[in-house]
Amino acid sequence: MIAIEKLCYVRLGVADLRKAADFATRIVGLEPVEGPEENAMFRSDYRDHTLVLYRSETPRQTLAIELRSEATLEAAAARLRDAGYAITGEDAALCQSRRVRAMASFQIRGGVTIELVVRPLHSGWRYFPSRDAGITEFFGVAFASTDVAADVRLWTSIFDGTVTDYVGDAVYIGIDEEHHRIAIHPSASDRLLEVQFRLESLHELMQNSYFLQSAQVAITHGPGRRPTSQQVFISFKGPDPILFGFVAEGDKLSPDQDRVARQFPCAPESFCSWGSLSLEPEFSGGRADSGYREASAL
Amino acid sequence: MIKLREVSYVRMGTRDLEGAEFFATDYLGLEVSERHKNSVYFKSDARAHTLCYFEGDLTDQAVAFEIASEAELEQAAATLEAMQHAVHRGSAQEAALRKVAAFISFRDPTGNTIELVVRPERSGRRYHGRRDAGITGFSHVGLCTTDAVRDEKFWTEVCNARVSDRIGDAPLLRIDAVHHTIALFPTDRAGIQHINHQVETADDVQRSFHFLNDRQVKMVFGPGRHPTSSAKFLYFEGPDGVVFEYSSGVREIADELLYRERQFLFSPKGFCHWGAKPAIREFT
Repeated sequence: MIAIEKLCYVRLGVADLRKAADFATRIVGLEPVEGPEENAMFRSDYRDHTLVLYRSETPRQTLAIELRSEATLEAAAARLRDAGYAITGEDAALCQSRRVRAMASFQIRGGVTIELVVRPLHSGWRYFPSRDAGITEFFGVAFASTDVAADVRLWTSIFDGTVTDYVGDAVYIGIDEEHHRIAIHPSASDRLLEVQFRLESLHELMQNSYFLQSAQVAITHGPGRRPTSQQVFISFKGPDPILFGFVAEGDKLSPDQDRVARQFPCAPESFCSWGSLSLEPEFSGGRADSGYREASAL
Repeated sequence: MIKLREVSYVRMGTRDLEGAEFFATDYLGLEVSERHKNSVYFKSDARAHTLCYFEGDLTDQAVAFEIASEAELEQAAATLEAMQHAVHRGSAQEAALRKVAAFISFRDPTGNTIELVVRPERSGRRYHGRRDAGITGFSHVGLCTTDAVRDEKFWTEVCNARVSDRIGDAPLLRIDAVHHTIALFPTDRAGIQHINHQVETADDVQRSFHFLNDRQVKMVFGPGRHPTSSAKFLYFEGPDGVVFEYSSGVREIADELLYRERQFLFSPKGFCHWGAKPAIREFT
């Protein structure tokens, strides 16, 4: 199996670059970094960048995964080709623009592009956010998927992810000591559903919750706590189809532990143990409408 | 004995409020906590404000120290009046301007305006500067003295300050475990000699040196290391010629009984361990 070192960055092709960059800076609170004019690049932690925005007529989404070495990259490309994925090889100019040593990429059913990168750029400088959101790192992503089984095979048989829990048919996948870094939610389309940043603590999460409300940002779920990972979370809408999320706390899993993934029912209470409801079909436990009715009745 | 608990804030008059605000935020790295027509308040730590610039005369400067209670404040006023210091009891309106419950002001023997304040406002929100200067808080002031021996006596006998070290006749005075909160430097005027903010690490001191130097801020001393407090430092000039200092790693004096103040030479060697030479009038 191919070891995933880290989730590295997310690239989003957006309709209105200025608007999206303003949202990332002013609302999410990320730190802009210098880059070519056609890109807006942002830091969220010790790395050179973890979010890249660029102008695109149709929304485009890319998740980059860090692999240890060029040998691992070659092995990964071979494994993926065998599994039927079309691999696009590296190109020096592209590597340079991505600020990585080597890379390859493939697509998940014509939806999200996955880039495999080696030696992505780090920054020796302390991360200094645009506003004091309390972000400590680019934490993880949630996918919407038309074929969850195929995606689970990708992340757990080709790559070294582990299924840590199920909510209905949704799957949480861990790649390190965190309960999960990747979530896959059954959906009518294939896309990145949410990009998540970790905050220092519950304190910052609630501060952000009030900040987002006062900035009239549409909060799509939370603040709440996931009964699966015990993470506190809040999800909110940006100017583009992807959601942003803040998370904090959460269970750590020991990689040596022989742990059986637990099955939770497909219900709103499996997504939030505080009782927050979501209109997003992927987060509503299949009951977006009833959730909405209950929320309006309150 | 007037028991000073901590240094609370500095208030300074300026003819160019806009310029002072630009320096305080974009260069020094403070956060604006409140902006009024004729004044701007700045945050550097958990307190509501630790610096206030207002439109006024350049010599209109005051340093405030926190006193535990209104009863102690009244006692302090009585002590000072018995010594023939003119004491001004702040009105409610003046107290509101300073974000304190009550205060008195007086002049120390040199003529520095000192405010003693009760219940200075804290802030529920953490400090987040305009730039990443690494500031952890407003920490101490250097005050001008026209007679260091006389003024040392005032701060140590009328107030609760203790001498931590002396550089020549200049005493470095502590009011808690931190090596010094007040430093008195002999000169021929009254006023604030320098304003210190602590930063997280020595890296922050060095980074600020490059950041400020690139922007043509006048460096007046350092980067260096004080042999007295062992802090790594940088001094530079702000608006109206007021000197600001960043420092990191100031020594704490844990054992009051065992500690003895030391005498250092009033020369560059007494001020800097590394060999930096001060271009500050009161340090030369």
